[in-house]
Amino acid sequence: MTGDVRFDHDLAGRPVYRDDEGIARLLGSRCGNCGATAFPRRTVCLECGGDHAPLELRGRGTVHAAASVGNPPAGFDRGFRYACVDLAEGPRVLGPCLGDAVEQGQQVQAVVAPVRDGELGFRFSEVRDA
Amino acid sequence: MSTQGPRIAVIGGGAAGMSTAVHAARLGARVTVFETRYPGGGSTGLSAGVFTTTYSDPLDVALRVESARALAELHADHALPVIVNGFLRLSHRDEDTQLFAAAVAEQHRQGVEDARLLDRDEIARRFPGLRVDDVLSGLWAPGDAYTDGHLLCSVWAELLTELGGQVIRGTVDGYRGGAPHQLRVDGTWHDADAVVNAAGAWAPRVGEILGHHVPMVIERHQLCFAHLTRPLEYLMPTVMDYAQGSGRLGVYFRAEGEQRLVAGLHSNDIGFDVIEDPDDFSAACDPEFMEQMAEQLLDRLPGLDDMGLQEGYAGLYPYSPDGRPIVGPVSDGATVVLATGGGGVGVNLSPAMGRLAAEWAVNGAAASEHAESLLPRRFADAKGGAR
Repeated sequence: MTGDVRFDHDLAGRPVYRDDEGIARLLGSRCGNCGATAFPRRTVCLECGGDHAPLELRGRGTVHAAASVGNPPAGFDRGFRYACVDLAEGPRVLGPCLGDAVEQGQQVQAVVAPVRDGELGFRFSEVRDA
Repeated sequence: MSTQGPRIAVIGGGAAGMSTAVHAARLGARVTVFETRYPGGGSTGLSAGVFTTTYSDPLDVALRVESARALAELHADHALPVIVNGFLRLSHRDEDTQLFAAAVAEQHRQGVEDARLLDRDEIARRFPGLRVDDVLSGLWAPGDAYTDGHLLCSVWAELLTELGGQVIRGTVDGYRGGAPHQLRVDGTWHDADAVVNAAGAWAPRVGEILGHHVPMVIERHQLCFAHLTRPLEYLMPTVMDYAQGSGRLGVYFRAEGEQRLVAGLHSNDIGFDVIEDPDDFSAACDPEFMEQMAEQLLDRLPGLDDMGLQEGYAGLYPYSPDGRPIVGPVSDGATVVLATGGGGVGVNLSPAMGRLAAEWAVNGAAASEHAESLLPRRFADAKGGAR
């Protein structure tokens, strides 16, 4: 099918949860001029037009909203929670969760886990430690 | 504490140094530990803290049996948190199974009576979720345990203080030999009748200041955390999927609370990710490591395939050239003593290493049949060996 838009690829067709070597990595970017952050990576800043440099995101953040996916797309063998997370570094990121207990307002951590067709990517896990 | 006992200066407040300090104080010495950060603030505090007796060599087992007894005492008498989760080695080759059988025999001989071989079915039954189709047997020591490196050093620091010793925060930056030895710590001079270099990955640098060579290879090793979506119905033992002498890194993991595992890559062979400067290494996990861990953990724990990995950190293994610790005077009769080189098992060995080092420093002799085999002089003939 033409025009297939996949949520896990950016507009340049690159997987957003991998680096250029194909290693699972939350790679965003930060503007060298105004400090604005972005995910996926940008080269030009939307705020000020400055240049963005790559920024490794730690994956810790707060759930802005969460929903259950009961009828999963191809490549997922079961339903899952899906969360919209405000990362500590700034960007808002969408992603599937580990387990089914993630709720709005919780602190979560992106962890490396199988996502689609067993391929490694990131899922959000509740932060249980202090 | 005696006001007449010898003054012992211990450089390094990690597991080896704190253990040496407490043992020396018990022998009547006046002990001062010099530590740049805080007790357990170096590699000790980054350790997975695993204690096991599952070895076949009599010396390896003897050091670990002594250490296990000391750990049990610290738990019983001083409330050190110790989690008895057991230790399981996996065999994939007949020669490993034979080695495991020899290890069980040696452990039994030295009083670890509950160590035994498990067959594949029993491993599968005890630890659901673990993939065993490629496993021939397991070496199982149900009494093995883990603790926390920081807390271990904190307990020893308290004991040291009760015995009249002290921990001074500072870095040794100068030395004058003679009787007594004089150490300059952040500009202030301290006298000592004997000096113990227990600085772990920093021991070669301390050795340069003190005028002795410490043969050492420093490796960086990483660990990570696995998040589980539900509590396990059993306490995950420390599973070591590494074959002794295989020359490759093996995955290990153990319980960390109800719904998490700690996991990393271990080897007793030397030469992986060697670093030159212990103050200049990446303390964060590499993305490649996380990828490798995810593959290996999902492969070994298919029953827990809804796990997710969170990066942990990297710490240092201070290896001696033969992988055994270096404990004893730098030369015959010297009052500068080494207690370092524990590699990836230094926390495990620290109770035994500390006793030996303290006896060398305080008495000039160590009462153990194994003391000779750990002396620095075994490297004297090697290139770059001790002098």
